[in-house]
Amino acid sequence: MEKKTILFVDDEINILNSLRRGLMDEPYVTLFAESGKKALEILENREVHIIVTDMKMPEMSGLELLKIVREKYPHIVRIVLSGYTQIDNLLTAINQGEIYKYITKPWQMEEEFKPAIRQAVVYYDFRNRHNTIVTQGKE
Amino acid sequence: MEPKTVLFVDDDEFVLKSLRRGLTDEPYNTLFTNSGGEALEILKRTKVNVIVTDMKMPEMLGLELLKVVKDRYPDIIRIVLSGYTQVSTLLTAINQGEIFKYITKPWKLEETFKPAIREALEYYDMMAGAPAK
Repeated sequence: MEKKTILFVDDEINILNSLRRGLMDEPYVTLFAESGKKALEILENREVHIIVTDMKMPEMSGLELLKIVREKYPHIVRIVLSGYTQIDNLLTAINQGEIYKYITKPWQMEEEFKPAIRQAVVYYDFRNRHNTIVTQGKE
Repeated sequence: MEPKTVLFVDDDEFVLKSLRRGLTDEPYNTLFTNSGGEALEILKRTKVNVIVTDMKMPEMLGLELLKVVKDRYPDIIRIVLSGYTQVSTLLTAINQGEIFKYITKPWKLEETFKPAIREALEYYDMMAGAPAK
């Protein structure tokens, strides 16, 4: 099976570094972006299967990013990694961002985070099993 | 295209009646049941495209039902309709129930509820690889 690519988006460099270190041995390619804008640039140039984004970021919020990704790249599985746990944020992320998972900070790498990403990889394949049609489906 | 079927699960009869009344003119079949156990019986003999369940029900909880449905019928799009809005409930619903939407009670039929069901049906088609309209 083709190796999957996961894009992580967070304005906090420490978070990205910690993810980079923690996921080094995982069986997928990892990419990192410090802003929604940079994430979109990466998406234009690289094939990404899963995106994991923070919610609260300056300029482009995680929700804005999720909505754009949903629209332009509907095949990408969307996950939130956020310290932001208010009911309203959660509901908006679920209902408008149509996310697959919502992981809260601080996260538990082994018990929670890694399994979530692996499940997302499996889900990606399940969801895109009719790949040609999925990409044609929206315009 | 064959008409789609949406199954509603809630232990509150009033909620089911209100949904039945509110959705009579919608372009899909509706089924109603007041327990998770019965919902699973219905799923054994009827093709359902979208399931909308309450979270807090006696005997089988909404979350349990969602997990069983996810496991046995992964194609069915899962939605929660619940008055239960605690962060932990929401997180479990999304992370373990892998739901498509979480609608809170009291719901707004025209602005929130009907569009959510329609989106879920469209999403079903996309997932199932149905030809684009």
